Amino acid sequence: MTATAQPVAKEVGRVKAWRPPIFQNLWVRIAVVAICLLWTIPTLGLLVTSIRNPLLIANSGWWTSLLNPFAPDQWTLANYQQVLNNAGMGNAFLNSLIVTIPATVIPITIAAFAAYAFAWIPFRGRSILFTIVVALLVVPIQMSLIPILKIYSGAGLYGTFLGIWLAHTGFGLPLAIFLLYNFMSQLPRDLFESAAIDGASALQTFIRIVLPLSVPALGAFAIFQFLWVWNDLLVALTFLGPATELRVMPTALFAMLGTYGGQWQLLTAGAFITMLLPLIVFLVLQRAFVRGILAGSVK
Amino acid sequence: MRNHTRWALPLVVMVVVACSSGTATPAPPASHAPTTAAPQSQAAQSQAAQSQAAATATAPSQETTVPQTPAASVNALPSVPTGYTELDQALDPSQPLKGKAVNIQVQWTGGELTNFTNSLAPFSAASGITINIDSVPSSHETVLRSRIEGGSPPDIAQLAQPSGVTAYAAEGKVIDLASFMDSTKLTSEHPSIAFLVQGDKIWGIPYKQDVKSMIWYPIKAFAAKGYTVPTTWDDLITLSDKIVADGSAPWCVSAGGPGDATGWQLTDWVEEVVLKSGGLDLYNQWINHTVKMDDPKIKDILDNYLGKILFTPGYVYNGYQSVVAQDQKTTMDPMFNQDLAAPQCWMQKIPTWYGPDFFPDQRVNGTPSKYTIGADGDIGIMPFPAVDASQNNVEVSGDTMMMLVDRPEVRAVTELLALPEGLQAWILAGSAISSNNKTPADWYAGSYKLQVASQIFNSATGAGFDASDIMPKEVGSGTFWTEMDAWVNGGGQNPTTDATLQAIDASWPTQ
Amino acid sequence: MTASARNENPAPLSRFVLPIAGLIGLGLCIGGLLVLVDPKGGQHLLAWFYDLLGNHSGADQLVNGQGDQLLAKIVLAIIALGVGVGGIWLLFIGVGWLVSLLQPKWRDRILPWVFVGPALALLAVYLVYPAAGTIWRSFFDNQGAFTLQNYATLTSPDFVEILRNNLIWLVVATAGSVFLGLVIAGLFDRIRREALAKTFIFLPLAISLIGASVIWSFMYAWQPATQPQIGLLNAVIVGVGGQPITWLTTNPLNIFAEIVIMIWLQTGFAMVVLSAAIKGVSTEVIEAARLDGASERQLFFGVIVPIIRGSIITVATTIAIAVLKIFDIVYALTGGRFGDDVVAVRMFHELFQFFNDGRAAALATVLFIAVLPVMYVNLHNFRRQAVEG
Repeated sequence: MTATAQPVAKEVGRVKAWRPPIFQNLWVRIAVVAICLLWTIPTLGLLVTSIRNPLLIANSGWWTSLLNPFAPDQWTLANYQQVLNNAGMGNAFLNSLIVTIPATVIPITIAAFAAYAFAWIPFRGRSILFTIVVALLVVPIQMSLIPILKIYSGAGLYGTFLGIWLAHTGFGLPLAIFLLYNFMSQLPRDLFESAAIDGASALQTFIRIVLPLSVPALGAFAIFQFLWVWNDLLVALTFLGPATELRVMPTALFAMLGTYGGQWQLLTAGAFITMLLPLIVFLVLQRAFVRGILAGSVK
Repeated sequence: MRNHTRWALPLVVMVVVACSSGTATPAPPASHAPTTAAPQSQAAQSQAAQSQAAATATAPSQETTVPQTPAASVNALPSVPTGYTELDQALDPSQPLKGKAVNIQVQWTGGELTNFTNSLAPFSAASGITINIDSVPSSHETVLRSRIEGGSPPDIAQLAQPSGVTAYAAEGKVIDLASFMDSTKLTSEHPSIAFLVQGDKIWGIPYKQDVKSMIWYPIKAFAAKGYTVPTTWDDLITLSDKIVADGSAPWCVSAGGPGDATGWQLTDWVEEVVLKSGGLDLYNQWINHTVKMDDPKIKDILDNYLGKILFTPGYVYNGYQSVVAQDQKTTMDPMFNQDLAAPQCWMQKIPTWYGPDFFPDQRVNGTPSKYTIGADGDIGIMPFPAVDASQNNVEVSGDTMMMLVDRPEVRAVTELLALPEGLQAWILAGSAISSNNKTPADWYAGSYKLQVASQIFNSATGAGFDASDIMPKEVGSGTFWTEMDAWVNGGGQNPTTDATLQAIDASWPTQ
Repeated sequence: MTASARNENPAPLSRFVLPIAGLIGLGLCIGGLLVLVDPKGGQHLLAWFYDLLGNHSGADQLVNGQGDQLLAKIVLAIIALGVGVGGIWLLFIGVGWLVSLLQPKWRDRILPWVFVGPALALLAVYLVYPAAGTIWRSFFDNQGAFTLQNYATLTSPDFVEILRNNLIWLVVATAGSVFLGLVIAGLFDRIRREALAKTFIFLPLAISLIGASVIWSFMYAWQPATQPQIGLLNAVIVGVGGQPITWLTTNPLNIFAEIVIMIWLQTGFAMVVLSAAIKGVSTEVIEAARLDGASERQLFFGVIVPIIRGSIITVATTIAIAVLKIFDIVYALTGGRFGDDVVAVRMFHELFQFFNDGRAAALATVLFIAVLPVMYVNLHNFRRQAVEG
């Protein structure tokens, strides 16, 4: 770990400096473009299918529309219209937001404090507790549903937003603590030593040093927790219940499809609509990543 | 000390939001008010209004609260006295249960949900009981089990498999209907209730029934080619050979995904032939596992009946490999080739609940199909031919309603579901058969499909309930499906029939 | 660190402000909690405000489930954020302040527990309690009698196949995602439009399971050779003169077809984290290696990869655990019916369809045990870091 002892301030703006001239290498560029294409093909298929004439979907490959883009009756936006006009979609979108934002922010806050303590404050039983927390990563969520629901039924939490926020917080904590611990534990020791010399308390050290430096890790976890909650169907169905006024986006989408449905055009359009917000979140937070890394990267 | 102000922020936001909205919200509900005068939640009202508007154009509707204004064509209530105490009470003009709510979880959606909702509407209007329907088209069983085990069950739940109802009953989660309903009346009016009766306890109502012993075919093209409806297995094979010789495939069969609920098409075939060759005795012994899966009689059915249909070259459209590889929803599509003028496959064994929802145009567009079912229409229905003429049995399946919470208004709704009136709108819509034998025959008169079904049912000497729905769940919705899938996928050779049947036997629970 | 942050002597005013603000905050938190615990808390609170403002009809509508329901939900969400985030801060600051009054010996003992307390409490309820119940349950049959039968059945060929499949998943999916994520992160580090390129790789993570299973069923769809293919892979194969392949029903090909989807989804995760780690590698180290005449490939695998080893292990662990629990992809595409069943799918079937709670619990317990080696590698890694750091 030769690199860890460097003063933070010096690192600003160094990332570009070591970039080799290799990016001019044709092969690298070809490889990058090829990988990006390969990765995007399935998503492209999703997008194309969502704006195709539904009659064509089951009878010809989606790429045939791209090959004959000017054939009559090829494209339509009616699929999106149908999804968006569907009663309850707007309500479901707002419910999704109301579920997702607290269910992302609360676990991050709790996990940040816990990860800091596990990484930097010595106390009895620390390593055993941390081992248990990490081992909890493997508890399959399906096994938790019924026991938790039993508690909820007694406490009147079934079908409440509070119930689902807490559930997502509980289920998300092990990964949050694990990822944040990994990041925080690799912060240079000098930082903490100098803070201690300055007489800063543990809380002050956390607020002034650990949190600002952990922005990239916090952002990374925020993205994953946001995506997980946003796209979750099982936890929402279990703890919010199937009632219409509490439907979130995935529940509403499935309700629209029907038992035997096969309405690919609605599935694909709906999937694309649900994808937009997480994508925006990623693009916004990605900048935060890079900034956070530039400002205080350590390894 | 910046951090000290953080917790104050929510308060500020809260106050700002509250104040601004307080002034900005003089009379929002006015635009929603006129739809109906009935006391419902605003959300449900506006949703019902929107979905009504949308229903004619496109999407399947998503109603969840039964509108208390019934559809015009149906206005049937059971006549009081109905024979059930709480139902009589609820229908009393004084509306003693007005304002109560009952919650029912079903897996129906789209047209089926609409029909179910309409069936309960007259009662909801007359009694003042609000009926909330939770439609959970995917994960119905998961959500239901979580809710039941977690202590927040719906009041009433629908299950397609009696084995599920008895499993919940064994855990003590189901209300015994005999504890408050006239069990003599209930059992005499519902012949298929037998699987739900244990001793003097009755665990559910066989609400809606389906006849499975039928084959759907393109009736005009059939006539044009000079094909005749086969009445025996040998005729069926002769016809199949003839269709192959004429250059197309006789059979539309597929049981493929995506998703989990596939395999029943294959078990249905086995059950049908067991009923029609070995009869009810063999059928019941087979369900009880006194006749094993690898019994020579069952093996014969796989090898020489189902295997004959699936593995004879040219019989199944696209070959046996397509059976599990092809989406079950599109099974009948090739029949509609060139507007049914040149079917690529000619026959599909499928129960009564099938209908225009699955025809390619309606399935894809959501608009009503241009194809009709009927003797003069595009699609005809024939009875499954006899295998052994002395064993004229019909295969049925059904949806059971079980009661999970005991309150007077729940009892009243449960009692309604036991009567034909609880299904009337659905019957009149032409897609349901009541399990109640007191159902007036003329309710079915308007529908060709239901006429054929009742004809098949009435001419049969015995009825067998879908075996896979009664067998223990790890077999009936587990290995019986999965092993049959694997058997078909391997062309009947890999795994062999013996290995397949022995694997199912091995999975049978020992208790 | 800024100058203000070094200011360790609070002004006399804040000596009063702190406790008073703390009390107000405490009151707000308790009030907020009361609102949150009430199933119609948002409506009731908003109705109370309306009543205060004289809008009584609006208040009545709210309580009766009409009127500004949306606003009530938003109010509720804001309170939740306030209590969830503000409450945690208040707790730490308040208790931190209280224990700072104690002797240092006690302070150092109590403070860590304040930091980890909320997390441990939530984990105890949401994961430890169900997990303990699961292990307990795995030793009982449906009648409630003690049995080892649940574990004995796991030795049947059926279950051995499931365990084998999980092992294949664990090795191939984890290695594939991490390796591709690493290579892509390294490669993309050297191009101009890095953020754009990374977005393409990240894209699949944003797609819901519904979308992913739909689109991959279009990749793998099969039609007989005589029909036009609607699956892209088979269209390519037929295009070059081959026979269409039933990707999802041919065992063991289907296992790998499903693993490809997982790799497609998880590589983005690996890339995001490893890319951050690569950017953290110090310039001096790289320049030094370059001066020594290392080729770019040697530089990457010989210098950079060892330095970010910790991050790689973290990513591998995270993905490995996700893979061990793999459920959605298999469940949605085949339901595990063609020799491709995995532990979580089988557990789901046992629990929700077959009502075999004991056997489902035994499977879950096997998962716990299976993850122990992975955890061991991790803890070993932490310990080594602790020594080195």
